Amino acid sequence: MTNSRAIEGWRPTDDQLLLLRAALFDGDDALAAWRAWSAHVDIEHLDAGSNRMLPLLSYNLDRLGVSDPLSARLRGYRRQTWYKNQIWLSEMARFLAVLQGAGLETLVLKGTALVLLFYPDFGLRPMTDLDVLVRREQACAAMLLLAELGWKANDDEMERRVRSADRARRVDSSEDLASARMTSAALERRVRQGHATDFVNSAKLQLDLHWYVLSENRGPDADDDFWTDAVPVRIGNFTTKALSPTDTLVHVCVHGAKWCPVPPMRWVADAIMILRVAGDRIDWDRLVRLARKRRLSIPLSRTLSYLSEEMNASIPSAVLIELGNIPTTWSERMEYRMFSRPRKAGEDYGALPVLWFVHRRLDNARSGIHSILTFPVYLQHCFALEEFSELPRFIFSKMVQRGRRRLGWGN
Amino acid sequence: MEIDERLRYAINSPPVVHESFVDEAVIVNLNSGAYYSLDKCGLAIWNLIAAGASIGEMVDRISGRYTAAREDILAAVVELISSLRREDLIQPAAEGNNLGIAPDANSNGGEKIPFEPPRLNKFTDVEDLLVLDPIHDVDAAGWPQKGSERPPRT
Repeated sequence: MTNSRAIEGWRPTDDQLLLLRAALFDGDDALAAWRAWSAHVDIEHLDAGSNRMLPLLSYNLDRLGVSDPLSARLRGYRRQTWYKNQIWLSEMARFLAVLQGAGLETLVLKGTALVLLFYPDFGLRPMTDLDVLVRREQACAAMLLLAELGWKANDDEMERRVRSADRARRVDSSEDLASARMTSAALERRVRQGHATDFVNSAKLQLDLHWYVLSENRGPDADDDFWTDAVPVRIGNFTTKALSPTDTLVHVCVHGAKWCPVPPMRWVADAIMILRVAGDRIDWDRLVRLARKRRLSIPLSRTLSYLSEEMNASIPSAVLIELGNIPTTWSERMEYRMFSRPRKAGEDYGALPVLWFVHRRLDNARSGIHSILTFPVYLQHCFALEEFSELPRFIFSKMVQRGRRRLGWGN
Repeated sequence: MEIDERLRYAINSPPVVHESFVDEAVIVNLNSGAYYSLDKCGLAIWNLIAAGASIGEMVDRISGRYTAAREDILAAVVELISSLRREDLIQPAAEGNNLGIAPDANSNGGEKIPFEPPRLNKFTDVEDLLVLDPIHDVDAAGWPQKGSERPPRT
């Protein structure tokens, strides 16, 4: 286990695994895990990942009739989670109604969709933000609408771009129109470089606006398959969309297979809940097709095997074999190693490696040499540079900016 | 004052949302963010209101579970209904909204327990409710009851 965690930082520790089993298993298995975990763990000093599991633990202990001095506090955490999620989702419904009123198509992702579709009640899964997907071509419009509604981007650079694009949009002289085009291009550049960005409003509600579901798969039609299979979901009286159960499982597992400073063990609970509620609706053939097409067989194979081995999840062995047999490229293996291994605080790979892996996927069946030769052109596209000759200077300036940030010299 | 025991009420939803947590009903008015809770027989009355029971049916059901004179229980039910109406959590049900309550599945094993008039607990500081640490900053009863001040954690 320890050796695996040195390579795959997303794997829960032994204590975290006991907590997951206490929160998710049934009968004696859950009770044994609870006794083993509670015997030597102090809930006042938990890691943030374990802390987030306590409402679900409370639910399972109540369900199993366990009475413990901690029960009241654990139940209180559940009540607060329920309260927060109700408040946030009600705010979210109002916000989504505005987006939809402006002609933007929306789809809720991650915690929002999981709480609404797969958890027995709103009190079991704490959320730190709300994740909303819009169509790629509507991303800039969504950001401008967010600015109009008073939301601020958490990323200072993004915030400057959104604000200046918002100002420029309101002008009508020809000179200002030229400026508007430039600022819109700057916003478009950020959209091409990323897959999502965070916003916060005056009520401190955090919103993660996505224009792609996964950071690994980008491009003009990257998420068409996800949108096509999306299912309706209601938030109060408002109806939007969520990924299908199969696609949600893919999303949870791919996202879970990454190291994160907050132990990402919650993906295990999310995946188990999806399988519990929609196990018979999981289209395993589609999952394998998505793994192949999107080149995600490594994270899917690793996480689904983990669920099967450690959490007794019923995942067809043929699916695990098929996923394991999908040929992978050197680039996919390197990407998996880079993003699953534990990293030091502040250790960040920057945009270039991420864009390389995205480009390599877009280049799909081509050789590595072809990908290397075409990468500069892809970067020119991502950075929205009119002339190819601007690329070296642009990359150099970005490297200087990055160096300055690392040294704490500001932007 | 004459009380019409045929009156029925309905949860004012939306904006009111509610959930039962083992021995407690928690209720939120999403318009104000105010948080309410009801326990013991308050939980039973809330569930009966949600099920469409009339005042008379509520009193009969509570009388079957608790030791108290029927008129005392009636007064307590009416008092709680007044509190819930003042907070806009319930409203008179439309005519013909008799959902028909199920037979009492929880009659305390046939043994009656002492009756305590229900109390509607109310918390209105939304920001406080949202940021209060539910593990470290609460008393033994748990969130939203704040604990005594503790030294800063290291």
